[in-house]
Amino acid sequence: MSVDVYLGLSAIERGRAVARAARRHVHLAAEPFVVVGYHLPGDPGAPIGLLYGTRREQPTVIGVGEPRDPKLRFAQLAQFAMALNGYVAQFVQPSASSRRPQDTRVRMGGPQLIVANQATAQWLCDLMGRRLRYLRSEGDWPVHPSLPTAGAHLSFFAGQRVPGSSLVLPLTEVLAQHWTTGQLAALNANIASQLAWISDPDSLEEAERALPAGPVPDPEWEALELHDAIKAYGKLVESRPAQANRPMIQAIDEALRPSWQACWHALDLLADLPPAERTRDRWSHDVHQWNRHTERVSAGTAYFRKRPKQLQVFRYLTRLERLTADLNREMALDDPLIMAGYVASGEALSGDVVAVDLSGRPPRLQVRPHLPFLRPIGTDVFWHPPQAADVRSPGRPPVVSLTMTGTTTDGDVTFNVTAGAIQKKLHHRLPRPGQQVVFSPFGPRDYHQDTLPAELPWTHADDQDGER
Amino acid sequence: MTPQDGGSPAAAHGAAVDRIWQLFDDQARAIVVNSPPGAGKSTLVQRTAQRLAPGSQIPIITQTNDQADDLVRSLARSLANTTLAVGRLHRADRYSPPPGIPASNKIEDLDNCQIVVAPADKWAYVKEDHRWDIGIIDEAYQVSSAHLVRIAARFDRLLLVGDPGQLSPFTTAEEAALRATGCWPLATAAGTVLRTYPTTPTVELPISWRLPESGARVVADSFYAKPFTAGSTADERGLWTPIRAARDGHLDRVLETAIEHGWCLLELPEALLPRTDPECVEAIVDVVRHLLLSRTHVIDSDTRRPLRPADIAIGVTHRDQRERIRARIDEACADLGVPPREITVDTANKLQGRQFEVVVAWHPLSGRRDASAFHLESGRLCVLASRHRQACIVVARAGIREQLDAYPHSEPVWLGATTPDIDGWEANHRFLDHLADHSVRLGA
Repeated sequence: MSVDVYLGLSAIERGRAVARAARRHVHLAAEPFVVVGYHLPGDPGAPIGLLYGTRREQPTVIGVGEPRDPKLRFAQLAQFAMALNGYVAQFVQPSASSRRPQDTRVRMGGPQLIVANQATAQWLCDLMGRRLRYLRSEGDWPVHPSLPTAGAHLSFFAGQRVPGSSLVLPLTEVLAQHWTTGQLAALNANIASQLAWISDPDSLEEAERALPAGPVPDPEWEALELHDAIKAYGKLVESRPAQANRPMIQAIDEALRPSWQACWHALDLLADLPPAERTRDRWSHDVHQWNRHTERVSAGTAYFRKRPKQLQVFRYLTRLERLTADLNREMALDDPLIMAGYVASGEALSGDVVAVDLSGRPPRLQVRPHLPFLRPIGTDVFWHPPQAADVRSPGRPPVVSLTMTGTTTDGDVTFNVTAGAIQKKLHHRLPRPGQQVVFSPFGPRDYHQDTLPAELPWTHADDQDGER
Repeated sequence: MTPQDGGSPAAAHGAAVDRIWQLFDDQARAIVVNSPPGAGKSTLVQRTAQRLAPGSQIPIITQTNDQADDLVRSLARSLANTTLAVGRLHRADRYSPPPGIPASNKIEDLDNCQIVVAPADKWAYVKEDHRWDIGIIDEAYQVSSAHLVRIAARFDRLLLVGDPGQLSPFTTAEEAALRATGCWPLATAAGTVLRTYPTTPTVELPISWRLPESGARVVADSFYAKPFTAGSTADERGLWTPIRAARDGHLDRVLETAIEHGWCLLELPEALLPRTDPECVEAIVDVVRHLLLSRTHVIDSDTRRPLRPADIAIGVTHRDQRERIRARIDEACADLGVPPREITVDTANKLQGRQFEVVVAWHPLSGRRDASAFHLESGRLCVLASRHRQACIVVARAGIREQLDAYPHSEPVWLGATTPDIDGWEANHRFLDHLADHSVRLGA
């Protein structure tokens, strides 16, 4: 049984979510920007209302009294756009010295967008970003200048929705990364019931009845509350236009306030977990990406293609595959609970060192596994010595590569050292007899130069549109 | 293969091969050859390479290192009495080539080899100004567009040979993020070329030499857009068992059905269970044990020989299923004095391109409550159902049909995605239609 199935069954048995991770694998910004919102069902371009801001007690609430009126939509969205632009502006680096991610002078600050679920992230970043970024603040149909800028920022966030990035956190996904509930994966998209599983199982039934956290509202709410609010807008818009959006604002606030609170509650739960070591590196990479984006914005070159070119998609595939592998690797190395899953599935070995033979070259190890290790002879595994053991190269943590050479009659597994601790002066990196070790398939991060050509070859059709 | 004996399978195959070579001589820029399971694809690649090789160097592109190794081994055998040499281009790190094969990680070292084999990933590292007139892509439905884009500039013309019924290229990355770009970098190499040049000549190899008559009929009808037939007749192939007193009702019926029809569906009572369903594991192990104990013989044309453990394979969908069966089957084998790992147990991915006398297949949808795209992919079931030369025994929980009908189609439709020739849902139903008459119910 895979560890995930086991955790799911344990959660059902206990009636409460169980920990899937012992560390927090996302970065939590000191001051995140939280957004929850609804759009008209079937029309993602028509927001009904949003709650947003950085202050838990005081979200800003906007409501579009008549969501089908584009002018009104843009007028209301401009408030959100200004707030978002103002928020991210705090993180703009003053100089262009931010090119290198390893540059320690780069501040660790970066913007962070918190949303309830993946669907909201997609709506807000991908769709609204695309909707807003091409608008113009002059010409025939001028909009508020904050809108295209916010569109560019949202599009940047959309491009950073990749494994390991903490710039946009869809909370239900992040929670599912750290806790396993007893409900089906699809039901985890409901932040209310997921939180109930994690922190208050008694309230589960109530949570399951909660209004959705968006971006699509509950049909009944739509039929009653939304309908009434639109009607009220229609009545007020002539007589008291300044008040016309009020009923919608109130309806949105009432419907989404619990989800707003749920988002902050989820952040509290995550904040209680100790951060995983490599989360910091990933976040500094995020900040680096952000800095590059702001440089493009200030240089006026923050272009986004309507449709990516084929070569960009090939590059994106390579990037996604690399980031997926990196995140899996880093989570396993940072977190014993995640690593336990690999031990249980037989991909990693956990055991006690029985013997270390330093006389020969290469050195040999014999390990008594805690669980049967059934990988074939010749399997490569890696040992990450505890950091303190090495002072020679503080920047790059040492890794010892080993190859499985066989199994003894007692069930012990034997290894040859193949790299990282062959020379005598590096023997201190090896574990000592009696020490408990985990050998995993996760080695040092490997860099491959991408072999993608500069131009599409004859086998591939040229892109139809050359516009950006 | 003599073209003279008109109407025979050999003649049909020969005609297809002649057409490919004709297209070559006519300077077609790309040729796609669709090859059903066991249609002599590797032989065609070999013979074409041999035919072209004397004049120039022929590079062959495979998907995996294992495929490249298999190919150089068999090429080396068939080139043993010629002046042609085959070389293996490989990665820089630890690699031991098959014995006797010239191998290097630098293409310049292999100048003396008329045929050079390497996986697509390796060809991508060869300098771009190194050009060849013709490249042959083996498994052109497994090599992806993302591979092709990295290598294609090195070859002026391409022969793309592959089995369209196999598993499509996949990625470890999240698919939705890629699909949303409106372009699919994991299209097959053959599909990419056909999309760019819709007039690319396509040749169908019409004969499956591997599948028996019963197998070819069902597999062609369920999983292939273009028809093909078996190269052998029903009486040229078969299994034979000595007559004996029935000891175990359902297992004997399974064996009888498989012998008589070439197929058997062993149906377990309906249940929704985790994919490592222990009863399925037991049922599969029982069937294999029974096969080993039954003193079954394999008939192939004029020869008859006992069925050996190495002739049997068990095909599964997930790696944890493989681990479960591996452990139990080795125990069962130990009791019968069969060495461990004699019987092949592997996932559909790994079984691609291999063949066995008898295959026991664990149906991908057995005991599931969902019919996700992964499990519905027709290639997965097709690979499991087309590895055998004699008979295929499918083991599944009852209720697959109901589940296929009840499970809502929730996969998004993506812009720019090409519709597959064969719909997975439909293929699954068709396949079960064929098997319905050959089913044995356990516990019924």
